[in-house]
Amino acid sequence: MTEEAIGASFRDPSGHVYRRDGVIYREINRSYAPHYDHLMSSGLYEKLVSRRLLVAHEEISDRRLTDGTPYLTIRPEKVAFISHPYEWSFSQLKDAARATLRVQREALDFGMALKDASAYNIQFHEGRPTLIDTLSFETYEEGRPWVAYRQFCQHFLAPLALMAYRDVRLGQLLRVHIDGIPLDLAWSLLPSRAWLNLHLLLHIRLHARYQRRYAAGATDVRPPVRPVSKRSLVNLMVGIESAVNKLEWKPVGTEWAEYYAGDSYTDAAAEHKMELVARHLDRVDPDEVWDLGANVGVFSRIASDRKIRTIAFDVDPACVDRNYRQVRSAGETRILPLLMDLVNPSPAIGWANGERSSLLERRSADLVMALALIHHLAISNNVPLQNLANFFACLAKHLIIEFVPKSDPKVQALLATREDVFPDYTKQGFEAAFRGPFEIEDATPTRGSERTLYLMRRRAQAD
Amino acid sequence: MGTNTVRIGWLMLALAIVVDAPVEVAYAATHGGRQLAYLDPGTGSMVLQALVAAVAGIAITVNVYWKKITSFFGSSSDGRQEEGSKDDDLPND
Repeated sequence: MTEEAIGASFRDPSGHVYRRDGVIYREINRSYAPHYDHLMSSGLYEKLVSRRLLVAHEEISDRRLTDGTPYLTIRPEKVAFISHPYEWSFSQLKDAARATLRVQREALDFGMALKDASAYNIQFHEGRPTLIDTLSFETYEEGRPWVAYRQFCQHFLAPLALMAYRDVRLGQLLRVHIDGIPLDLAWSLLPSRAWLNLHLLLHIRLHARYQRRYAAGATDVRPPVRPVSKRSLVNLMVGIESAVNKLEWKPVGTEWAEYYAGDSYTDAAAEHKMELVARHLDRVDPDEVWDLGANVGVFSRIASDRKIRTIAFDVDPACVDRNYRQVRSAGETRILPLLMDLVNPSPAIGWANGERSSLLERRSADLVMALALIHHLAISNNVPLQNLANFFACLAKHLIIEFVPKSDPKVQALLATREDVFPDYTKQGFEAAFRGPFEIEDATPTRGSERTLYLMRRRAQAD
Repeated sequence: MGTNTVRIGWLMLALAIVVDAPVEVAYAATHGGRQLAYLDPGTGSMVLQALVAAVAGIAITVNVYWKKITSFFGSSSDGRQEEGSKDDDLPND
């Protein structure tokens, strides 16, 4: 039996998370007992779980009453894949923010409040933003301000404002600032029309000024923390909710979001490719598929419609957003769209590089799909075919991959303005490179195009 | 709806706050014996909340009256969600 502490949970004095035999447990410390018991007995837990705002859990030990022992151990429902806020599109981050605020408002109704508002505490669990940190609640004391207000503004409001007002790519600042975007930085990057948004003036600009004024160092001044009545606190929550709701971003105008509407495929070729993908999926019957370069998720849905858990990665924020909007409107539970730059995937970040794991540390798929992708990696990004083969082999046991030859109009376009320094980029060169780590189980030319779709299986010695 | 009118009201409020924070100065002068000495970088966030909550309260009141006035004159709502509604549209409830 191996027990391993989970990287990000060391900060919380209420308890900690560990993994034993692949199952996640949460141990609750004695100091947190009154808060936990209130959560469970007040009806808040049932309400949040029934509205799918909080992950359910089981108590797997009795309450221990001896001093010096942990109070209780719980086993939360398994969340299939842990994603990070910088891997979410605008709408995903916005829905995560709204879920956090809803949890807080429900909590206030039951005499509790959120003590954390970290974006990392929200995960997309079966399609919906869900709070996974059961120990985020504390009993509410009348007059107490919201301790998580700063964190909410830094983790949610600042990045959403920057994405909506300046550039959607600024969401990536969350990858640098693990505790959210500093508010002074956020304000300095916002355009002048942000002055017209009272919410942003208050929660970002004024907030940053107050932070500076009362920063550690000015300790001789007793900070004038005024009590905030419950009614005022609810008003504050309504104000923040309205601030979030008013931030909008429309996923239009990027190259990729309009891909399928363009001329990339003839209908016959696309249809044939779909048939082949479906056939390969049925043959392998995987539990989890990662679709790399998924665009808006047309092919990912061939997998998720077969009840296969599917993660649809794309580098384009508009594609991921459109994909997520579809998940949301159709109530899909098995597909998770995520933003990922494959040539620079999420690294491990935080204390001792152990708080938020890298993409590779989180690999969990049985099958990887790489459709209409290889030319971008091999030609636009100069990654040798052998490195690509090894990378895919490290991700999963099975691979559905499409080879797009130089004669294809898309590759011609890539090569139009640059020297062709890719003598090995041929079907033969591709097969030779991939035969290293993989066995080719099927290779079928796609009707109506010059492309070939492969099904491959990792060789035993590479396992 | 007269979003612009509301916005102008808010702007005036915002200016009053942003020029500086007289509320806070007044408070510091009258501050009683209650000591909540947070010395972490979150202190400013705690201090600010009473003020922000007050502004939010005013904005909510203004909105409610604005809606009453517009409905009295028979202009229809623009279909925007009422602020403070809890049952908004997170993914398919």
